[in-house]
Amino acid sequence: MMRKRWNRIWKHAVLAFFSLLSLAPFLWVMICATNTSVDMLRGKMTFGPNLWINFQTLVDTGRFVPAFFNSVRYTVVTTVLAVLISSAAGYAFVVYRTRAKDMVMKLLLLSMMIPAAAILIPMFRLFSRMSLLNTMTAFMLPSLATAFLIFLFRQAAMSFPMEIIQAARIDGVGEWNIFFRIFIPSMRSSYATAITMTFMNTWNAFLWPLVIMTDTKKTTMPVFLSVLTDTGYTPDYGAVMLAVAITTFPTLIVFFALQKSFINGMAGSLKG
Amino acid sequence: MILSGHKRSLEKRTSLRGWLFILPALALILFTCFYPMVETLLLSFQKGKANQLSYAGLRNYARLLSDSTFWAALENTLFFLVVQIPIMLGLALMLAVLVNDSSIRGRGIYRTLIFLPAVTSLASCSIIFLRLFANDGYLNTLLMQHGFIDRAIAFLSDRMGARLIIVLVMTWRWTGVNMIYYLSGLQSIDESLYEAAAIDGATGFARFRLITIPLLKPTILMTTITSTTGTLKLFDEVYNITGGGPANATITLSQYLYQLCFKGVPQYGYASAIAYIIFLLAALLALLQMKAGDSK
Amino acid sequence: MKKVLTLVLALCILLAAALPVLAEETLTVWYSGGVNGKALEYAAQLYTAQHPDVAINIEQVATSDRETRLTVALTSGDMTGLPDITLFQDYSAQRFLQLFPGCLADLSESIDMSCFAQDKVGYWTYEGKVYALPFDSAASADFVRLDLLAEAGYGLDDLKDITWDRYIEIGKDVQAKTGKYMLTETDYSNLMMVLVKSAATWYFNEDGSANIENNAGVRAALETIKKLHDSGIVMENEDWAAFISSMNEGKIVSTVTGNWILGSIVSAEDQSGLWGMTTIPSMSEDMGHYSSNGGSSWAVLSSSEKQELAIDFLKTFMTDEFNTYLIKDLATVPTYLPAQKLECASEPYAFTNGQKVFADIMDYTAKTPVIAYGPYNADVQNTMQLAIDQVLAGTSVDEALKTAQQTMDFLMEE
Repeated sequence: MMRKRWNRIWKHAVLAFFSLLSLAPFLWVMICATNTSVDMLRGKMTFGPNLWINFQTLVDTGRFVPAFFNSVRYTVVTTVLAVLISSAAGYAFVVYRTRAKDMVMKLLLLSMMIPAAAILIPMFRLFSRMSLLNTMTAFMLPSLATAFLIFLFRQAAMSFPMEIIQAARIDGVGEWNIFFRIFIPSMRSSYATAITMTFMNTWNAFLWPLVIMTDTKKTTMPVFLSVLTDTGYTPDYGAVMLAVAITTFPTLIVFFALQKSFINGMAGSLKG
Repeated sequence: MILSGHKRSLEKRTSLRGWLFILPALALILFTCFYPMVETLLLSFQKGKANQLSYAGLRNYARLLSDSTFWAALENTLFFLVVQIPIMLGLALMLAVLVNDSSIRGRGIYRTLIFLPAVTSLASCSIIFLRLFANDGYLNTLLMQHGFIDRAIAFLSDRMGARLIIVLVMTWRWTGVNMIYYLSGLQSIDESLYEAAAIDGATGFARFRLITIPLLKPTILMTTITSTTGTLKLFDEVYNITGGGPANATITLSQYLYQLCFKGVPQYGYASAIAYIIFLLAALLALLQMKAGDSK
Repeated sequence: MKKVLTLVLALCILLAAALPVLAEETLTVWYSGGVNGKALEYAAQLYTAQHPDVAINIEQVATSDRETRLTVALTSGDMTGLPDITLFQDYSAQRFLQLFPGCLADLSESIDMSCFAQDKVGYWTYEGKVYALPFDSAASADFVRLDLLAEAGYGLDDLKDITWDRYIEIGKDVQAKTGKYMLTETDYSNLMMVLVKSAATWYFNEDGSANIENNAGVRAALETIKKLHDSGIVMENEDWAAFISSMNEGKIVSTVTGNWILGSIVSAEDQSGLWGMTTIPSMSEDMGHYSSNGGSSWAVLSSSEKQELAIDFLKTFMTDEFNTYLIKDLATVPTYLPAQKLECASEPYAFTNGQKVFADIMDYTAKTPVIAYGPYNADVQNTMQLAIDQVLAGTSVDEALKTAQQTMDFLMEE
């Protein structure tokens, strides 16, 4: 009994330590968001009264609100499509496994091994030839299918019991229905992970949106943040930090909303 | 005979159906990634500045041999690879197991907090990390106040110091993400396996070694490959915190490539050659990891 | 009949509503930095007041983002997303002019370039033509806290036209008496450029090749930085924010950089009257006290369909009204020479204890050495950062220079 309790205390201590390390910079951003730039530079470490003023500063730029909603729109659409398209592929690589498909999977993996900066110009040329500059299509297309996501789903599908699929086939359930009705609901934790990661990556994307979306009306949050830190030789750090804080919220909200799926993953749904 | 023939054609049909699931993703990747990659490969055989390019065979690759910046970048990148990935993945696995323990109350909060760095903007974090390690930063102030040192340690202008700070920032930023991968992998492990093992008298560590690790293998393989390619393409952390300094001690291949393309006089051909070195390294390591991951 | 009438009426209304839109021409301008935006806004106001049919659409794009966008678009040959006018760093001028020939419109036909400081015009000259309208002065100066200096028994004149050796001597004394650092810096990259140019040289030979190893100015600059570092009088800040804060928080006595830093200094309003300005120290008796770093200019992209209109708008930057606003309201010094005669240029400035800093800066600007930049400025800056780091960590100046020369030769080989 004693041992068990010590065991638990020890675990809490480890988790608390790492949680604190993780929280500190975030907390600092929050504190800065409520202070003036001057206070931040002075190293003030307590919450201040400047939150509303910082928010006003952001809104007054006239670009914050549109950038935020642009980002929300692009990211939501991209995430939904990307997770669907990529999970279907990842699923098929396991369920319909053949030698040829294994080869294709390995080839696809190669696509994540080239640095983004290196293919930026060929990609820009490609989209320019199709007259897609400054379109949402151009923003989304390169992130709709990623080797990373496909791989994530492929590896997850490996632990999915094939007997269930066989049983469903015998019951006469169609292949697409097996995927949509059985696989997707049972792989909740993998979908939660994939959605969170895709949302985060799309939300934070910088280089591609920067060059492809030159129209100010279509600016996304990361590019707006870059503009914000550029204001002269001393940026308004209070406003910058508030923007940074606000930028982190959507991904956090997605993460929170999917919280339950991380715990009640496949095991739970199969039993239930 | 007839039956098996029928079965084979059914298999063929489902296999074809399988391609339909894959097709959209495959087409998109071919179009938006492989096609530009081929262009980049062709570029790597050309020399010149900006648009003024001409065919040069393997000259760019030969040039790499005598480029001291390239070698420095390669060395740093490999250093980060060897030092940082094991620390991060080990930590992530440990935290995932802890957070997955149903006897731990408030694990949802722990999980969220540990994931937090991934969503905190790096640009702002670089400010706090720089403050932490600056000559008159928090850490030096603390150490001096308590008499551990009497002169400020110049962490950022020390080669090893700067490298370790990058390792720290990478670990801080990406451990939570990997923890989430492991966590979702752990979900697919049946609780009853642990219970049975516990009845057989297996200790906690033995259960971890004999059940968790083998069943988590697909996830471990995935995180190893993605972390490896991620580190080979490492850019953001270095760019935001040390800018590659001091004296190229932290410059990475990807950062050098970025400089060559967008900072100075563009040398796309040469930069493309570096891109393909990164590509080859990543592919080679992934192949080795897959070999190791498939065995047993 | 009724129907037709309504239709005609509706069409008329539509046309009437659309007409001013059709007649209106829009110029899009990219800029970066707070002061530049305010200046641009004011210029747009002045211009549109006289040309109500023109709209000026100003958009802020961070400096490095702007260059990335331009580089990608120019390389790919698709300029659809680019503006009509854009601000450029003077440092980047030759990179764009030489690597993407014809990407900017020639302004030398339509604008009298003799009205501008000649160092600025020089940066933007390529094959005899000038491709940008020079904007702010980047002349370097030594901004000094008069009160702290006085506390240690010195005056502004003690720092005027001295050498760096003397500056270090005074610095040590001041530091001993006030407990404050004499100089504030980040990673010495800005100072390096200031020092090299103060020796009236730059990193390149006339044929464009790198001139580092045997360049006395570059060598002296590295040696000076080493001396400064070793003397312990320099507060070395980890980033720009800390650098600015070191001044605003009163942790330092002086700063040597482009005069644009004044904009940041005056943001600490409680220090009004405490600051003075003088020339920068020279590296030796035969090297100068004048230099510059930073600065930018306005260029018209040749992909613009409204080049004439764009150039006409840029002429607003040459009006007295605009330049008065620039000096008085933005504490920014133009390189438009006739601005010297403006009343506001020679007015005493309260923040600098009544010193007529704007007139002084204009004087420094006129004395700034005219040197030729090449396309490799960004590359050489990177390379020299490596040399600085090496020298500060104990490598000999000879060796660091040799490495830098080799690195540049490597980057520049065809």
